[in-house]
Amino acid sequence: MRKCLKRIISCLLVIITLGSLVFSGIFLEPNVLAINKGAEYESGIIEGDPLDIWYTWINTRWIQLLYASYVSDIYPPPFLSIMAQHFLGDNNTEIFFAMNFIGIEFFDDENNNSYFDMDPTSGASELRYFIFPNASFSVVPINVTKSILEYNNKTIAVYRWGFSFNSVQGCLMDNNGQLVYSENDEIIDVIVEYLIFEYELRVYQDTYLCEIKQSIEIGNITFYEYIPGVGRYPLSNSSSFYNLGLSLIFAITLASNMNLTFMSTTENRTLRDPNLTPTPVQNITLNNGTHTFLEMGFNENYTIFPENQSYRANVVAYSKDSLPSATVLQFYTKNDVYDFIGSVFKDSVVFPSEVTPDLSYNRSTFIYRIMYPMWQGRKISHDPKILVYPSAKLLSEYVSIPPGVAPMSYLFYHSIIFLTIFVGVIFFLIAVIRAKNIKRNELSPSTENISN
Amino acid sequence: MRSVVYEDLSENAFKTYVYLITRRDHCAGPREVQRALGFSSPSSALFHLNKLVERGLVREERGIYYINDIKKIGPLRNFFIIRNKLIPKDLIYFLIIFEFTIFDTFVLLNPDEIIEFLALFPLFAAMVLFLINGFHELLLRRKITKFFVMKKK
Repeated sequence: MRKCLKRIISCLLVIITLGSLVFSGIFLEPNVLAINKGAEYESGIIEGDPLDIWYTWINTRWIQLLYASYVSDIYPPPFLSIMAQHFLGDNNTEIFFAMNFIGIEFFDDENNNSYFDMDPTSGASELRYFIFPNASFSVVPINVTKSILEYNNKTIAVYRWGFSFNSVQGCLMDNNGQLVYSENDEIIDVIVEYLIFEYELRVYQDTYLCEIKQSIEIGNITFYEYIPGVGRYPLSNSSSFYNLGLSLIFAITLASNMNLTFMSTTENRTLRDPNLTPTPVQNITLNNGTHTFLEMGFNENYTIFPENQSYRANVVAYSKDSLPSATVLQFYTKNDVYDFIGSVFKDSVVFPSEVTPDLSYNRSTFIYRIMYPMWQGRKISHDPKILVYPSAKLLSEYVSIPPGVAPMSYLFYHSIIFLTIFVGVIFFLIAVIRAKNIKRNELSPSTENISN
Repeated sequence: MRSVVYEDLSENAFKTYVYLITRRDHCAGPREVQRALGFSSPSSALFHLNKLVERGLVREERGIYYINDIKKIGPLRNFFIIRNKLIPKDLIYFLIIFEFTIFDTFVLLNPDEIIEFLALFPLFAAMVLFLINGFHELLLRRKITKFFVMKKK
């Protein structure tokens, strides 16, 4: 009995040891040291000083996607949200495309055309104020997950991730980049309750069409008088701001080994023009004249809460020179996040050296503004989307992780495969030896004569 | 012609030993053994019990034969002996590997991918082999404890 117990205990110990070796990775935190480009998808943190970078990496063989933003345990992280993609189109066209959120503006739609007009020559503009988003009091990254959808006999891989900036603080500035003061001569400070970017990448397994849905949610915006050393006090006459229209600015960066053009299909006009005048764009395509590689579609309607009322959103492309003030945009010229994204793609074996992604705002092809003419300071929800048409596989391979499993490091994933093979082979050998033993120990009749 | 199970131990002596193992207190008298195994007389049972005493497998106290310390001899090596039950070892191994394989297949790996399927292949093969071994052991157990089945009937 004692021997039997000993054996059972030793068996259990072996099982626990092997089990812990194999399964311990499930409980590991996402990789914190470096991005693992071989992984199919993962979210993680690149530690920096003083700010860390949170990222989501997706590598679906047909498209590589990297989203990044700042996070910090110590400081309110600066406000930055950027998503970069890399894919191959027809005729070996390699495309690097990045979308960078820059800021929030308020405009006075005097001519009621639902977007703000500006005349580069005269300098006249309907833009009234903008917020240079300074920092968020807290951020909540939403780690990437994968699921598989079966729809009309089509298999769709769905990756979801997001980033929530909570209590985004910024100083209100006017059209000339000057701080705006209240009647009491105090700085006007703006707090955006939250700004949530949620993303969903759908990869259709039969056509390899990639669909990126971006969901934007803006919480209530409140205006304060900021008295340094004392605190913030709600602005008494903030209603005048709520009558203005709201606009979100995004900068588009493109790098390619071919000559490609962004076109507004609505206006049939190229957007890569330094003298671009405001061009309404409900649909933007990236093409070379014959092939379309990418399509940006902006859902026409946005919703205001709590009334749950829908209004038409206008998307207008502008020249990058239309940004409020170059001085406050220094931040978008060079920072750690850009360097990080650049380094991920620059050293990639699939990205040719002649195309170096430069994400500084100065290098952006154009900017576009999503405009919400009706706003009134309330919560807004809007869902633009991007369609990507890859036609060739990227050279890099990934190791597929089943849906529902927490992303693991590449090395660890390989170790699981290795351990599975190792454990399988060991068990198989044991089974063969056991089969021989069973035969040997069978109750077989013998011809030997043995006297009792 | 007699069958030999373990060294010079006859099949009947081995069955007597197995009978004692499967008894709750691991002990029995010659008459109980004779009845259970269907020997022609108690002296035959006594003969086999004495053989076991000679081998040091069993001790005798006032006409009752006790197992000293369960020794896994011959076919008994294929079983875990828990209390008075013979449990096929390979069925236990099969259950362990089955759990591993299920977890690996449905949670950690994706058998749709050829590399991962190949990684799982030795586990599947081992699982099948253990299952076959387990069935052999069940048949063996039936064989060495056949007398009890007949008695129950």
